[in-house]
Amino acid sequence: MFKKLGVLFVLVAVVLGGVAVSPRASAQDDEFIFGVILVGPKDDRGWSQAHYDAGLYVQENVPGARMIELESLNSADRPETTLDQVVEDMVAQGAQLILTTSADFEVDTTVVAEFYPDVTFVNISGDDALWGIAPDNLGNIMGKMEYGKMIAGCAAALKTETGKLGYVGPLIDPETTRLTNSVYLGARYCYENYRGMDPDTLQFQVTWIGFWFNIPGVTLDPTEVSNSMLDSGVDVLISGIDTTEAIVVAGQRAAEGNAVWAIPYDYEGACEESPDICLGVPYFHWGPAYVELVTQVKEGTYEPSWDWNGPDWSDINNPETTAVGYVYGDGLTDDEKATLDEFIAGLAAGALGEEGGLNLFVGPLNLQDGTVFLEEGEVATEKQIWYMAANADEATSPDEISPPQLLEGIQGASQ
Amino acid sequence: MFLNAVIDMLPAILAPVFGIVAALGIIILILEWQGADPQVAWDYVYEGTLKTAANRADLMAFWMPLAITAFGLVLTFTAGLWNIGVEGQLVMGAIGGTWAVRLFTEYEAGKGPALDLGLGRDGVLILCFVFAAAAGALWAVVAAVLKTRGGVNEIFGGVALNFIAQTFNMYLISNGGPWQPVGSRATETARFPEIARLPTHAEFRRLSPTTIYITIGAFVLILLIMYVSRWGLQLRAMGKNQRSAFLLGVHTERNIILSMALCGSLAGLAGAFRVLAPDVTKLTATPSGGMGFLAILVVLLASTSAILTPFVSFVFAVLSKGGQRLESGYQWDYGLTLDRSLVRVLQSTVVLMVVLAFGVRNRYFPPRSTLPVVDEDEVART
Repeated sequence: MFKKLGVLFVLVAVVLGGVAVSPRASAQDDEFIFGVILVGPKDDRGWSQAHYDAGLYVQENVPGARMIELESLNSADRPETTLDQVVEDMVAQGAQLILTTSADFEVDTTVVAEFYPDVTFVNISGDDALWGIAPDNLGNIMGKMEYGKMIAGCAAALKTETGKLGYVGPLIDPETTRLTNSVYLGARYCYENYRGMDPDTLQFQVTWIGFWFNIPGVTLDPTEVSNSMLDSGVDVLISGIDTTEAIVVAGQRAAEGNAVWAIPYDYEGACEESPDICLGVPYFHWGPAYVELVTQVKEGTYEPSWDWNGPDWSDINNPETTAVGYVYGDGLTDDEKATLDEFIAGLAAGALGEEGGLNLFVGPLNLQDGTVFLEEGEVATEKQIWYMAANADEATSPDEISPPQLLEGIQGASQ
Repeated sequence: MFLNAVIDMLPAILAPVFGIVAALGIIILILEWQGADPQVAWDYVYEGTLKTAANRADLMAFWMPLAITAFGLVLTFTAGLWNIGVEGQLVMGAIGGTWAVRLFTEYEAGKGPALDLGLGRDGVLILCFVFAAAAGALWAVVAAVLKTRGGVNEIFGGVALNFIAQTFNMYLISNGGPWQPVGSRATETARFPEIARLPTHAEFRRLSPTTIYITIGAFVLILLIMYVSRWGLQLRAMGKNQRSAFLLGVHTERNIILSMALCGSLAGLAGAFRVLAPDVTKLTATPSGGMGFLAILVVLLASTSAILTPFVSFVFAVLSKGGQRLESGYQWDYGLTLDRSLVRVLQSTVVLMVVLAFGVRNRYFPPRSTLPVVDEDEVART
């Protein structure tokens, strides 16, 4: 009995004792609140963390800007809420700009944006603003990650001994198809031109886990996928998912004495999971675009648009200016780094339209079902690359565009 | 006599209370340890759930599918069946409801309904609920028949069927699956057309009165079964001792299948609630998101009492929604990141504490009505 009373006493003491209240932060006049909604955890060392860090970057660089974020908004992690409800909470908190940072939020964002005409919405990786079907207060931002992925493919091709590359993909959509194809094009080019090998002998296999990250019992387990790829003779794993399983698995296998390598994705610091076997990481650097966006919305000059931001070709890792970059990993030798430097310089020249520059999205290229993506000598347009469909430019609405397809030569499903 | 009944009921009521209080104590300690002020925490939970009418509407919308699933589970748990498969039954309900929408409405613009019955909104919605209930019931009956005819324990069958249902759901809507719109980036179906949307409350766009009526109807049905009907009595008898019940003339196999089917159909309706929710109106990657498992905890906590179920599920709904507000509130106002799993830890702690409370009660204060007549021979044999 006394013991029970004792426990009760402790509990009451704890309740009453814990009143060391720090004052609630309240909205000040010069404060600009922006909401960031993440599909995964903000410390995932991948896609979501790259966005979260960009929000912190905005706080540092735009006076008065304050981020409010919600991580892991998906029906498995938060069955109790929806984008609609989260946006309502954020607007109540004073948010004037809301970034929905996943393709999974694209449709819901178009619906919710209508309810809050005074709030600006930006969906990352979507393309509603491209077609003029989006509400007036909704824009899109994406980075030209295909360049980063080409560099990743090149690094993998420089390294592989078995001639087998494995790509751990999330789900099939125009974006992921585009990026997978970019890796493949980069790998083929470097395998042929720097290694002197026949690119047709390069094996490139893709496995889609079914979502942006692992949801136990719902998606395939990327750890298992990575392991089985390595079991089948793949010696470079390239990640296309939001999280770091591929490099973690490769690191474990390397520790067991296997000569395997990995290229993570999304987040600048992703190599830290296993630096020695990392061939570098293509990453998004959303900070500069976010700063511009927040500044414009704050000043009332933002016009919703579809922005597909490229790297700063004078230095793709310039933290002030670039939208996508590639950090070399410790797994690369100095020779390989020099080769990659040359490759990147070629891509830069191509992107800037200089003589002798490198553009990998040039025909002849076929899609997996054998249809022609680009005729001999034909250069892909922005829309063709965005949608990975030959007819993207003729279409008058997104519904008319053919489903995206992997390129001929890639092993793995296009749908 | 009445007093005795009340005294017998007391532990059943006190145990959850004790569990919740103990769990709250633990959660306070965790909050203190994470550097968060517990008093503010209550404010946040209140803000996120009950403070404004809009909060309460959202809370209702989340509570209803949870409650209706728990109602069904009262039947199976009373009959001694661990219907773990309820999660999959909910998912199948979501799929069934979506299928009805795809069949009976003009899902793709300009193509007309796949099965044109000239239905209006009411007709479509009724079929939607019927399909959902049927799909959930079907999935439950599979588990039941596996048990009665295949000798597969309903727990193992349920786990497998959960997995199949969830995988089937993903097949439909991911990686260019048959129900995913062409070129879509999101893992979901297209939003349902207007004709397949529930009427919404005039003030609260995320709350539909229709689901409220169905939930109340289901509650009344379960109360009638449990407290009025002979069938409820039979289920109780089966729960106490299935073999004895059988020997006394209860059709145990039929009752297993029936109770499972009814539970499955209610879970299926919950699945329909989830996809038809006005702020969802589509089939998502995880339409249930563990709601079936949560309902199992609810029924355990309510000690399979039909009357307590709505209240316990309400507490769980408050914990879920309040927990989310708690997390974002600390984040937004104090820059303090609480662990995201805190809410699940809280819920699980509540259950653990309540189950513990029941264990202590049964061990030291066995209720007179169920004072065990210990058959020493029986004990020796087992």
